Amino acid sequence: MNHELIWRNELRKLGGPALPERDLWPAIHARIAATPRRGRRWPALAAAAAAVLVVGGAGWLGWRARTPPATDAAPPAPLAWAQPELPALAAAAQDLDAASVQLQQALERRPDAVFLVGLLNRTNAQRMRLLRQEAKAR
Amino acid sequence: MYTLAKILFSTLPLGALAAEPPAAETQAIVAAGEARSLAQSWTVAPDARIEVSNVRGSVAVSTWDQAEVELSGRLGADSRLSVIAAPKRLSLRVEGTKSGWFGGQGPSDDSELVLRVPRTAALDLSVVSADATVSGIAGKSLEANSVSGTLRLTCGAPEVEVNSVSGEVVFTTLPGSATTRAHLQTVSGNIVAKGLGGRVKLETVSGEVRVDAAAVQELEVGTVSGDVSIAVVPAAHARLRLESMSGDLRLRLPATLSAHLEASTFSGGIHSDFGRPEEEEHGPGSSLDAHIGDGDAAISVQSFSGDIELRRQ
Repeated sequence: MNHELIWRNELRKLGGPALPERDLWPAIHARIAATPRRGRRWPALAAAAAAVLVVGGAGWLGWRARTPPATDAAPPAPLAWAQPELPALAAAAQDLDAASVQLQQALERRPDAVFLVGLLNRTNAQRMRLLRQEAKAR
Repeated sequence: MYTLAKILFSTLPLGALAAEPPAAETQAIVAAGEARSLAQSWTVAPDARIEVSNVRGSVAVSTWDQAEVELSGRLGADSRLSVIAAPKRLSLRVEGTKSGWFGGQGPSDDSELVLRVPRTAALDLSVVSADATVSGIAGKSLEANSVSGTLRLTCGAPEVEVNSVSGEVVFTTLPGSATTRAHLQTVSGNIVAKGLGGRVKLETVSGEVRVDAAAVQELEVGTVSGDVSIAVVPAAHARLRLESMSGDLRLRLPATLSAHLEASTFSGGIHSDFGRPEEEEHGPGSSLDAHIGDGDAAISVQSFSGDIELRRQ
């Protein structure tokens, strides 16, 4: 048996669209008005949040597009030197590592400051000397 | 040929082919449990190399006109003085009787070494936290190394090498003498020096440098953040180069200076008695290019953010 023909015959028996016997909208409107306000704030807040996200995201994307990659990068990290154990040498190692980072940052800002390369090399040579001093003292 | 050589080496004493240096004598002086006084002496050559090493306490070296090293003072408890003695070399090294200097295993007591050495000896001095005083050395060279101890050095040695980490360095040349090559460097220790000459190199990271130098042929100064103040009389055709990242550079030069002077800073200022600095049109920074007199010396002063001051003495 063809089920589709049966369903179509039954639909014909139902006839055309039926209108409600009365206007239903005033009752619906009254029920919406009676709903507490707290429940109705969420759509507004969600819309505001969405607007903030859209505007903020667009601004961030725009800022990223305008910002040179160099300033977007993390600050230079010191070389991975071994840390001395003697307190005076360890403190000096921190000074040298900090100086090395400062020199690298200065070089990133002004790559034409070639003399800073010499200072950086001297700083690293002193850092190496600290390790030799500790090794010699052991 | 091989047979002849074999015969020669097997029959002739080694000393007949080359002068063999006398064997060094070794000695250990131990202060076990409690400190002990020191009173030793060794005969050495007048130009012997004297090596002294101490961890904590002090070292005081003076000179005399005798070919002998005299040691007095005090050896700290649980310390050992290792001695290697030869006519041309004497080594005195204080160590802990327990192995290692760090982690609480080093000497637990101060050792105070008082030495008199030949005036014309060369000295190699190493200290960790011990303060050291040297006066009168006029041999070939002076080398001094410190971690945190203060170094007070008065000497007439032509070659000087001083390294300190955080200890201050105070250096003075003997009257009538001058260095021909001097290299003084620290990490954070200050450098105060008078009477340097010849080839001079000064390096620091954050220490302050105050130096008087005359008859300088080459001067090289490098600082990261420490301020530098130098009064210098350049020799003819001298080369002077001073570089700083953020430390200020103050250079005092003779009124009769004859030099080509170049100075530049990226974001600091230049204050000069030798010509008017030019300011950058856009942004910070300034530079100076001046010919003074015949301009035979070359002076270069560069700074990243530190100020530069160039003054007539």
